[in-house]
Amino acid sequence: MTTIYIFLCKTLTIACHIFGKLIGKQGTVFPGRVINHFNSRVLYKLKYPKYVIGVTGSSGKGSTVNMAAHIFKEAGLKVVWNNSGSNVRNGLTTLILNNTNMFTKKVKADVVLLEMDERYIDGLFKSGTLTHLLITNVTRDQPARNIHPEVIFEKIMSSIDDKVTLIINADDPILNRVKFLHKGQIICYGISKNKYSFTDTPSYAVDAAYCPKCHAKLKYTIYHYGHLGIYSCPKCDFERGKPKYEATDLDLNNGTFKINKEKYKLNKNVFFAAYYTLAAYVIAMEAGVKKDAIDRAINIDTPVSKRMKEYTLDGRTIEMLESKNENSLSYLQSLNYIKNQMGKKTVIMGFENVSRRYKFNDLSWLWDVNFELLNDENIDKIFLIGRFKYDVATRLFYANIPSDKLVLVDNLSDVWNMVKKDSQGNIYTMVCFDMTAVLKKLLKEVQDENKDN
Amino acid sequence: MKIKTIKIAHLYYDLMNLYGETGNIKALKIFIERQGIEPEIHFLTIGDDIDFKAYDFYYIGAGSENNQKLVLDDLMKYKNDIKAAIEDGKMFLATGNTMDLFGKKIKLKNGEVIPCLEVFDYQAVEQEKRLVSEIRYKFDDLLEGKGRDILGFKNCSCNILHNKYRMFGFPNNIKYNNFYGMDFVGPVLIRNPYFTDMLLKILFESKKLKYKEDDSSIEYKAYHEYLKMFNTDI
Repeated sequence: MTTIYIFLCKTLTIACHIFGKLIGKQGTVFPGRVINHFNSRVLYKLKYPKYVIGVTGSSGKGSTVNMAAHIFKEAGLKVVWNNSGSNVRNGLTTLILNNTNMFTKKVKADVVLLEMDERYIDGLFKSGTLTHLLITNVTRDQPARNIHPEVIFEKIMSSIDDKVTLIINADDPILNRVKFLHKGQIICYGISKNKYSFTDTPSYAVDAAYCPKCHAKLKYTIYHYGHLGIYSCPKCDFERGKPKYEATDLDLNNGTFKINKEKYKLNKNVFFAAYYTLAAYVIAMEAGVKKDAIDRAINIDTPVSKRMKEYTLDGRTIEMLESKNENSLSYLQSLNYIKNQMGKKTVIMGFENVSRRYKFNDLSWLWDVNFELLNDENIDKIFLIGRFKYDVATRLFYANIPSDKLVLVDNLSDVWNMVKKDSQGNIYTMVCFDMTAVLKKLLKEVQDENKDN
Repeated sequence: MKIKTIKIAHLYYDLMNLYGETGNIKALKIFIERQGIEPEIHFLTIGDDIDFKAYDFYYIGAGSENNQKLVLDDLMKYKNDIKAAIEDGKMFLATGNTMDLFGKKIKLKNGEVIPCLEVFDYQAVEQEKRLVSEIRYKFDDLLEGKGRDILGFKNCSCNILHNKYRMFGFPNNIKYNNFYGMDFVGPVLIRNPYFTDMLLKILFESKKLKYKEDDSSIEYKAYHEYLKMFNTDI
């Protein structure tokens, strides 16, 4: 039967490709859904390579998988990975079956590398198939479905058994609880104190403030962001500890840092690039990739970051910073980036819907974001778009942003003309990726109009 | 004349802060400042000595289930003080699952029963499925167009049963003397500026202070705009 399922999956994928436009974006998910409907355990029957590696967590999993896949390819290994972005059960089923030999049932890869939604790890493979699971962090993210970080963590832990080698970001004290819960191998990575460290928490979201073992308040020597940092319990032995893979000497101006004392390049000058580059390095090292191939992949054939692509409007640079709604740390990354840029600046933000996945429009998360970082004399104007612009404006008012800097945009299609006319400096959009797509389309229209005139 | 201050205690700020609860403290600060008074805000948690006579307003927000139990352990030592303070008319705002703690007990799915503060007779019962929803309540103490619609988001695991002092007509919310408990998480006082005015007016008057209402600032505009969307297609 497995052969038939593999054949069916491949056939459906070809059909989806041909009729893709008719069924929307389901091309990578639909075949897996059909197969799982008939047999939800079809992935249990396949023969896998030595390494089947999952990457999960609240943020940074996609970037980690992209970088790790790049390293594996650079090392000449065949890697099956979900570069299409579908990280849920049906998408992963489609991906794996499409890369499996129908007759031998062997997955045609040296490494299977999967970005996995933290809620859909359970039961995907039979015990022993997933060799490694890297967890990037567990933070506040989409509360309407993920509830809160402890629920996410418990969900991940209930989805794996002790045969899996866990790779965790030890800077996250929630993840570090695996020390008490996981009997299998645990490998830690982390970033040490650097010039971007804070001595007080830089965000309002203070999760995991207390020791999971004795419930005393954790002491942090430094914070990176959110609850990530270097911490220890003043009463018991729970601590971040010294990770096996540690990043030091982070320098975002030069885009470099060191891993276990050796210098590496970052492909983006933002803090979390250090996390995903480090995480990808750890995956490659633990999967036995030769170090010279890893060094070459990171330092010489450095992959170009998608987001580094810049646009312009009347000679003003536009940088589009993807900022995930309902994820205060994603917004914080964008705010920190904008703060660190020189010269006059204009910011565009807002959203039409909080989520594209569900209809709830919970706005609580706006109050976990440190919008006070926009108190920067170089910021000329902040354009607020989308139907919740008054709620965002309220938050900015409470962050003491002068009201004469705020421009509420009633009609979204006017935004670029308003920015052109009424503001100065480089432009930074910090919106969700669906709104980024809308802004790009509108920008193109404005530019085409200008050409015609 | 010496201007009296308003003393606010944000209790367990580092444990009960599920999503955006700090917005409530920011709201109290700004709303009180608009009356020409600089409030005194104290952030208190486990290990601090909490005085249930010293403050005018006590706020506790929503938290994770684990943190809720840690807080309960700490609160139990103040059980009598809390009861006396509520009977005495001290103002409390308890949001999200904090409300569970003021009842008799929490009954968990696994059968475990956790004794609580017993200020009220109600009990919290953990549900099979988490209760997550965007909600609009009607509050008869406020006028239509002036805050009667109470907006918020609910994200909790327990239902409240046997609540004699319902607020908004639902058992998951309570009003007793100046104790206000509601199942919403997050910045309820920002989202509902007329409700905030109502609470502060009661508080100010109890201290023989005048409270001037003025709904021209941005929170009120956000409230009305959001309500318009709620009435259509949100």
